[in-house]
Amino acid sequence: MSGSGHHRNGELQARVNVLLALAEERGIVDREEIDRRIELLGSSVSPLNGALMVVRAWNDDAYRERLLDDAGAAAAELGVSGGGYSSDIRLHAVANTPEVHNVVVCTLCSCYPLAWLGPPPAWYKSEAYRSRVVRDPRGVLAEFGTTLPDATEVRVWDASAEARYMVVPMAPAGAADLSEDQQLDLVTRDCLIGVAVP
Amino acid sequence: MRETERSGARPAVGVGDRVRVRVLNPPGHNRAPSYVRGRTGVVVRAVGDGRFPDEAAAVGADARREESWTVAFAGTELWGPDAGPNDRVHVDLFETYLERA
Repeated sequence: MSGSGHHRNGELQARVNVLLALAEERGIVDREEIDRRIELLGSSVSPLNGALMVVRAWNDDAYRERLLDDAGAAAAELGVSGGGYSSDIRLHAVANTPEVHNVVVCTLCSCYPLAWLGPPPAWYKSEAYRSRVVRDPRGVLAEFGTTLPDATEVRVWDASAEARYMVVPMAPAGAADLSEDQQLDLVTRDCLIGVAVP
Repeated sequence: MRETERSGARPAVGVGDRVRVRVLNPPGHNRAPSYVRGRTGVVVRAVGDGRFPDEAAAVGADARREESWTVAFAGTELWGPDAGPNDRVHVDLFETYLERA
């Protein structure tokens, strides 16, 4: 699912550069502020934040309840602020169960819980992923190596308004015997999007 | 979006309600994906309020605030009989885009 849209991304980058230069020239944006935000996203937020939340939920039922009730507050408990978004943007966690598997997309653009989990992978923004995962989620998941039983309900979450979604995968068999660091290694960015399972 | 285009009976919706996505094609920005317009689903969650994007795209922070809701659609409702029978697509939609079904 990678490689699509490179040409168009190049065109987009050129347009962004022109717009940015014009906005800067007219005093609408401040280059230092933009650099500061890029720095913040590059250094202090990463999928590890999501892994910390998931692993805590695996090991602490009360935290799991709080995470599913108000993920933004549950993130803040672990020192993950989600700062940099307006307060209108809220994080919501959806949990996989033996009966339900969740997967996240933004069909209209590329909405992603970036302020909590860092930037999305390139394929998440591709037209192929965005158009296909709503139409044939099982087929797309299979291409990622994730095959689900026919009886499993697949819930696709299309983030088209103010919510940003993360998936809470199930702990795999034997996870309870692992150290917390080993558990963290199981929860990849793809698991938090729902295209993979630990 | 002009006032007249969103007038008419638009009761507030709630979790558990069956709703249909209104077929609206206003000029300018819109956050109702075309693949759910005219389709029927069930409200499963209150997302909370935010600036109505059709207006926010034009006037920014002065746009009115509006509730949005997560609506669950059966895959077959969206894609017909070839869709996975256990597929559900959940889409967050502002109240203006919805009507009771």
